[in-house]
Amino acid sequence: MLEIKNLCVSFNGKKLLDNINMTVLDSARHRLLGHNGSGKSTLINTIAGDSSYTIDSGKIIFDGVDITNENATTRALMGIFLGAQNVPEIPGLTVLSFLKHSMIAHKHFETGKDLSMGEFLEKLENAREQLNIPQDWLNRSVNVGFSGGERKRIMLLRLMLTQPKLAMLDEPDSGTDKDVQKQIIETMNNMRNTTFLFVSHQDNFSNAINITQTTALDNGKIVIE
Amino acid sequence: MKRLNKKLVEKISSLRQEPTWLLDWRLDAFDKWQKMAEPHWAMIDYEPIDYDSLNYYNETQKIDNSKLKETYEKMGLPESEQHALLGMATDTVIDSKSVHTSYSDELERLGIIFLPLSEAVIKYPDLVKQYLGSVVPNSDNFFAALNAAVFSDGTFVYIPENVKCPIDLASYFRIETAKIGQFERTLIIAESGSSLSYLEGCSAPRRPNHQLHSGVVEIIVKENAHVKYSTVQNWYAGDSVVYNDSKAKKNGILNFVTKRGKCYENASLDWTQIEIGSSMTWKYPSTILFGNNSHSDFYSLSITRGDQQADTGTKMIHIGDNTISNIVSYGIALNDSKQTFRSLVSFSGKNGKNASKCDSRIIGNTATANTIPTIIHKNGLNQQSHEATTGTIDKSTLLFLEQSGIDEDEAIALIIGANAAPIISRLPMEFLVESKQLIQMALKKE
Repeated sequence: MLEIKNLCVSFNGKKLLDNINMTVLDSARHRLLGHNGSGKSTLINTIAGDSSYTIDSGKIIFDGVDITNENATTRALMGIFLGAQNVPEIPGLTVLSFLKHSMIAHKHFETGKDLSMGEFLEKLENAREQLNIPQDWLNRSVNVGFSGGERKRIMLLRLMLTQPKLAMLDEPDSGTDKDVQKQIIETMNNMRNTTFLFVSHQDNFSNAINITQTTALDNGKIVIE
Repeated sequence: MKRLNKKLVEKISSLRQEPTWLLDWRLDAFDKWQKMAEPHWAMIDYEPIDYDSLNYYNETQKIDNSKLKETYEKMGLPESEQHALLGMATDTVIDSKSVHTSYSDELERLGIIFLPLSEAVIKYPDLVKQYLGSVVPNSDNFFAALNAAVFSDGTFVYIPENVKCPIDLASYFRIETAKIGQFERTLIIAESGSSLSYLEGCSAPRRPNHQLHSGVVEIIVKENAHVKYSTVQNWYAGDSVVYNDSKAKKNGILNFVTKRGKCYENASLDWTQIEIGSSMTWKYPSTILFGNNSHSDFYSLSITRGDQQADTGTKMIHIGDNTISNIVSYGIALNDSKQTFRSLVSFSGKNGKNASKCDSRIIGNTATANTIPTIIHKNGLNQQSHEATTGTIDKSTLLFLEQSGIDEDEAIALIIGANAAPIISRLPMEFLVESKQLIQMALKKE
């Protein structure tokens, strides 16, 4: 599914990841461990195409394709999802409009066809009901006025709608109550066709997911595989 | 009809069968114009305009109701824009003439006059004479004086006392003929206690040379009246604005416009401007807050790309006491384009308030944005705040959208559309969809 080969990454000249070699298997529940600043977020943000990080050397192979030089949009459309820790507020852009544009892009990339409004709304309603997300959230601006837990639920909605091949979740359980954590765990366990690479500091949360692999980072290097 | 001289002014007036007082007013304007120098203080560059080479009058045939949709189709207007215009009371001005004015008879039953200015001059000469040039005199500035001398047609609106105009009125200006100069004039009078929402739309097809548009809008808002004036400006921007093309400015509309309103006691005037087109724009819709407790808002969204140039802004002249004005400007400069926001806020009354907020976004390494506010306190008895920000698109927001599968252009359009929502949402409902589409198109690279 995902192969990281000899990856070295820096930011403003400072080395953050040093010769990372890692394989994430198909349908894995792969946990990333490490102290704050160990490089976990840098690694998944780099995989998701954040160009503010410089790849000094190495390769990222996704589904057999070298995506090292692909931009963030292409990576997302190929099936890489990022549930970041911090998400920006976008006043004026409704959740509905944002989801619609994202879904249109995915549908077009996957099939070359346009997404009909009917198809979009049907998928949206199904996912929204499963996650018990209030209808009025769709008309609110993206991430504006949402609590940490509510933002995670919107993230789950995006996840269910796009059905990515690889979902990278950076501390999905942080800032959430037990109910939201339960929803996240259920979603991760139910999406059997999606591979998960996630960061979590909580063993309780991680134990509820059938972890298949664990990688620990320290100071930008892999210390446990 | 070329060669700009006194005979041409007389010819235009004669073709329109105008009364002597109007011909005299035109000739006076022409005389003043000849003594004026073309202004070059704005931050815009363009080849010298050869005023003798322009075509000043092109008689377009009137269109009846049944042919209006066909005409819009022939002009290549998008379906949504056709639909919006057909659903509103619209004065359609092509080149030099008003070719169709819809709903005039229905409005007349309410006492509302909605006519081409050329017809209003004949039918209501006293009203036109009383107000023409009362807010924008025929010597106001170089381009306004030229307009006063050679204006061919335009729109006249009169809303009687205490009448609320039940539908949005609109002018649609179209420059169709190559090398023509369009000099339309709009005169709006809202009597005491009346209200009106007015929309101005404009477009032009591709032509090989520059075309000049020099319009004048005068709005008189009497005691307790309210006028909302919205503009969606989508003049042809010129081939030279094509992304990555050369910087040569060969064509597109040179847009010099003077718009001004005068508010009497307790009156209010709202300006909403969506500026997308034109090779070059020079435009500062302004309000004279003459009466006590009068109010004016100016909301502007300006998008320039390629090598478009826009020097725009507003003036709020606070003369009465307890007057209030708000200025909200959002400009987006892409590619090699150049934008300048220029404002003048002056106070001579008491307890006046103005809040100005201008935000510009520069996308790309070669676009420029300038903000030039001028604030004049003549007596220190008023309050003014000015907030200005300049930056580029927030990278984390852009990345978030890209990581959701949305490409960069689309993501930028979404972010800007979101930021501009408070301005766009002020447009009349009929033009909201059309405007959103125009903005999306304007933000996409060719």
